[in-house]
Amino acid sequence: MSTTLTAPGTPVLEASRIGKRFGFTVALDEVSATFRAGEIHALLGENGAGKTTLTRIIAGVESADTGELRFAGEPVDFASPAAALAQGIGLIHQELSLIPSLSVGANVFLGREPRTTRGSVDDRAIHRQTSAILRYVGASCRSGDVVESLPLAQQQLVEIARILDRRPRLLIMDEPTASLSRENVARLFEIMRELRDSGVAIVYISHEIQEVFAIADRVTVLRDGRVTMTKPISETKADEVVRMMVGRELEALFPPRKQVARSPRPVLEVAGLSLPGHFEDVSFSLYAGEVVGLAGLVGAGRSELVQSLFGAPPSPLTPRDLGGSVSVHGRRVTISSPREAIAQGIGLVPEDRKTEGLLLTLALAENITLPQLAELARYGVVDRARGARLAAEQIARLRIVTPSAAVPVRSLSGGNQQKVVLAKWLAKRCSILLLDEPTRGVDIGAKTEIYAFVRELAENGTAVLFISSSLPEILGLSDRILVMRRGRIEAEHEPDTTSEERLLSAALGLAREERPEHAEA
Amino acid sequence: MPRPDSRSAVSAFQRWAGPVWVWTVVGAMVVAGSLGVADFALLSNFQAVGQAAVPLAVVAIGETFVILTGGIDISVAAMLSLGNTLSMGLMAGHEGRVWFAILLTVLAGLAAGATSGLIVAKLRVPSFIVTLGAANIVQGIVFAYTKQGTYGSPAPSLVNLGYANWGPFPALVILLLPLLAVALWVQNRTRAGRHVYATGGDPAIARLAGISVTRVRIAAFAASGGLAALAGVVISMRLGSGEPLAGTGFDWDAVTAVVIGGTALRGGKGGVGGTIGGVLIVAMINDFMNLQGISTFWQTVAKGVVIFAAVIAGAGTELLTRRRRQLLRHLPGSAAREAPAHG
Amino acid sequence: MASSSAVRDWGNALRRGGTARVRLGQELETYGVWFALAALVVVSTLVSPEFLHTTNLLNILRQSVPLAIVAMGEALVILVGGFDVSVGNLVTLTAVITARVMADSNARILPTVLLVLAIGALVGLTNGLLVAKLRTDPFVTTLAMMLVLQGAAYVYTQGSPANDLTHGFRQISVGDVGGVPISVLCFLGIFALVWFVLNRTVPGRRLYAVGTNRRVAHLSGQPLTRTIVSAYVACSVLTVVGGLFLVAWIGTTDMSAGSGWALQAIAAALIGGAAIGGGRGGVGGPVGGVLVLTTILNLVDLVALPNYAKLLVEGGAVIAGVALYSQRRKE
Repeated sequence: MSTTLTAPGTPVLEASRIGKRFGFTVALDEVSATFRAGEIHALLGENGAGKTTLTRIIAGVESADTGELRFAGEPVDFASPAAALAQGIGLIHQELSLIPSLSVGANVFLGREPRTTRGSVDDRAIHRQTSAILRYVGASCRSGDVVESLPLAQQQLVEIARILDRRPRLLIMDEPTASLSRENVARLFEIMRELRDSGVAIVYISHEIQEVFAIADRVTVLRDGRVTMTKPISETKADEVVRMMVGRELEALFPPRKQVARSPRPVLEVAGLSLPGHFEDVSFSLYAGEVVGLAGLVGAGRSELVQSLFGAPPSPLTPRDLGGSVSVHGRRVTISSPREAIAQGIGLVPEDRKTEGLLLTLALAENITLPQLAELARYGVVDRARGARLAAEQIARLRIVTPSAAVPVRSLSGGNQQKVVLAKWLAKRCSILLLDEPTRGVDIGAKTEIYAFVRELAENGTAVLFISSSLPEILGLSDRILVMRRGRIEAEHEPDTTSEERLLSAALGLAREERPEHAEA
Repeated sequence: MPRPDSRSAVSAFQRWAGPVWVWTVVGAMVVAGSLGVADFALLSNFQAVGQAAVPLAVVAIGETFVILTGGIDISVAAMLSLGNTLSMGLMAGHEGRVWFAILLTVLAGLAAGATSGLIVAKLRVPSFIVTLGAANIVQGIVFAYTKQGTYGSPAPSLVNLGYANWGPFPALVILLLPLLAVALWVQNRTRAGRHVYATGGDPAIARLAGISVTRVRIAAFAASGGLAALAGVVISMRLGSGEPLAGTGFDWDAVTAVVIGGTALRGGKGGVGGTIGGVLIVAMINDFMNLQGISTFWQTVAKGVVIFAAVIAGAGTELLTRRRRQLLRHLPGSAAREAPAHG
Repeated sequence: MASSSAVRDWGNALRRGGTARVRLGQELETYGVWFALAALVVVSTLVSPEFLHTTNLLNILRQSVPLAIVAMGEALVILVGGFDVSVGNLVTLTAVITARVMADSNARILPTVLLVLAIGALVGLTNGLLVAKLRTDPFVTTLAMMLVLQGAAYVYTQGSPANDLTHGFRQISVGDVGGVPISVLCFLGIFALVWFVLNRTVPGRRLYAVGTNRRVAHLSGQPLTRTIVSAYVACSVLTVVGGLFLVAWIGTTDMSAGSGWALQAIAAALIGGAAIGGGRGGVGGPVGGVLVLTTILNLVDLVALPNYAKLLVEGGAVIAGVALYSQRRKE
């Protein structure tokens, strides 16, 4: 399996001042990095720091807005991942790019099936080579197995095998160990060392800091789309890395917390809640008038938890697959649909407002009144006057900027769209409000306003649970903080006695000794 | 280390002949028919069933490829009528024009199908709408060409081929075999065949892998059109002339046969082998009903019920397998993982 | 800070979606079919002077009524993101049952109407439950239903001969009130009812919500199964109503009643502003689409083109509607 190509240390890929925006958001801001032959180079950063975007650009999945890529000295701009792979750049995705209904061998050789001299597909060669590469990566599945019948760990190994079989000169691995067992990971690291020693340049993205320190030679940290640190691994430690991942200026102003006497009975009580494949043994309580922040990395299960509380776990799972118990106002309830959740006084502002929160082509007023459609009607006929009044109330209260309530929601800015989603539930007067990334893609002005409303809601007695990937936001807005990691509640912190570094360390699962010591005041 | 599901590998039998249960049903129907239906177990009856099944088989083979890519072709009935009338019109009873007529007819079918495929692939419009429209247009052309009456006549050598038997086997069945062999070979042994399955399995990933999904789709629809036109030629060997409505019912019958034969409507799974089994099932249903004196109209109802059953079964298994898979996923990094040793 | 961002947002809202641009885009979608119809009328007048005769125009209207009712039903199903290709054969079944059960007896009018409406509701219920609960593909499901209905109609007609329909019932399609065809008046009433339910009642608004984005509707507490099933039931019931008007117009029945109507209804809906995948269009557009189709076919008759031209025209209309649809999708 050795491919001795370039002398160790030679730059294989140089990224110069790469910039990329998605609409409002700046994903990458003048990022420059060099990946060298014979080196395992780790990329670290929080959610949304830009790691995945950068690697997708390098691998030809996306193209950069600005900046230049040089591969083995030549400027390149790949039109597709297949083209990049043909040139020697392989990306092992987080989401698998396998066709589930095909066999392992068919996937490994997809698009480049070898032919015999007579023109037919050379299945023997496929079988032989696939079996060899599967053995190499330590997979226990066979070349003829249909991908969708394999457990996730084996599928991950097939994905790895598929890329390794192309003998890339630059190998990018984006969270490849997420579903693997200990033995698989050990074997994978062996392979990575072999490849490195034969001159391949490896880029390794992971949230497992221990893994990074075990395998990498060099580490680069990204934060908010910029490089904050590049060092050989021997010259740094876990706590410095974590510090480089956090620590941005507090731009938005958070309203002051008021000490509200906590009522003795919780509004929401969750005990031993579990959803197969997503989260396990989750227990916590929510009290009226408090804002609880839910921190953690992508994949920790936060969104799935909140969706499940609302009666809408990710398909194909159903509320019946939920284990454990949920109690609202002291009474045990089974929430088997969003309708029932709403009836219990729960509201959910979902993560993606465009696909889950709003009917973009319909008017503001229609969106705002949607959860109450039946209540606003008399004998089945919609009372438009009442609906218009309700909408106008919310527009004024949340200061939504719009020419009128009849305008389709998609014509509003991101911040105002988010406010419309909030308005839906404010109009319904929920006692429990679940927010999933409430200020994502929202400008500063609207963010501040949203923080103020959340605070106001809490002061008026609503219990709020919000998910955020922004640690300053968690620290600034919460009365209490829960950290989730890999489907479990990892820790509970008080905002006054913790810091971004401590939160991130908990989210990463670092042992106590490796966590940064000081709390930022 | 968990072992992979032992039912996972698609066996060689399944790749060439389709799912085992299809042929079990075929066998059961033969047995049941021999025991329960009068005049079924006669050689002459089997020959008749075989002869009647061949045109449907030709159409269904083409339809299989289209459905494998995730589309559907409802214009096959009109294409068959076109093939029938065009070939008969071109031949007009002359022996010397046989090959010319057949070739031109098949080319016309290929071209028409390719056009549908182009609209589906480029404009990304659902295939059933495009082929519904194409069906109307082609049928209109057929009516215009034949001035709505019976048209043309076959060459002398073809006249009796539709009912001839070579030994115990119907001539048509024997002529079908090379076509079937080629279709199976393309499906299982060529790159194009692999790409058809990839396109049906997940067109986005197929595209990322460098497969031209557009070309695959156009080719599939072209094949369907060409084969339907060819089936029209075959039909003429039994009808003895060109009929503008010769294709009536072949569209739904073909889809039924493909679906029964184990090819999923979503695409990416199944194959020609199973379709042949499905064709036999449909042909035997027709035969049972004819022998019992049940009208063709009940047959239509029966087919509808069969498709209902197939659709419900398909949707049910789909939901069940997705849930099973989700429930089998273990939490990322749970239990089995601990921090690897530093090194 | 708040006010400056407010001003900025206001400007953005106007510029981006822009009230003016939004309105124009929506207008083209909704009213495009009427522009097409107007153009057609002009062309027809130029081609054939007989076009503008009152009898001819009234004929067009009368002929359009049954299909227009069916097209409205189809539009409802397309609105929630599905299809119903069984409508044609449901019309046929309605026609054959009505002709034989009602026959020439005025007393049997009401029971027969109730019977066929019940059958329609059952058909819609079956289709809707399969699509909503089992998530079956709408096209194939209604395809199977189409075959069952086709067979049922054939089987049924074997048993008894078709009689001429009672004159009393036929009035709804043949009669006039002060020069205005009764069928057109009835149609306006039905249209108004459907329009009202769709735009002003809770079930109607739910159709839009579910059709625009199923997940959002679900997460906003709307009952998905109920809404989708109601769309299919409404479609089938309206189809039966259209079938009743058709059989009243023809007076007796043959198996070709309703043939090809599924395609025409879908084409009319698409031309009239509906979009595959749901969420768009009302009931006015499909009616316009039907008028477009009927006018084209009328033109074909006036110019004495042979029958097959109608097929070509229908197919062409579908492709055209489809091409328009893909244009709309690109926005």
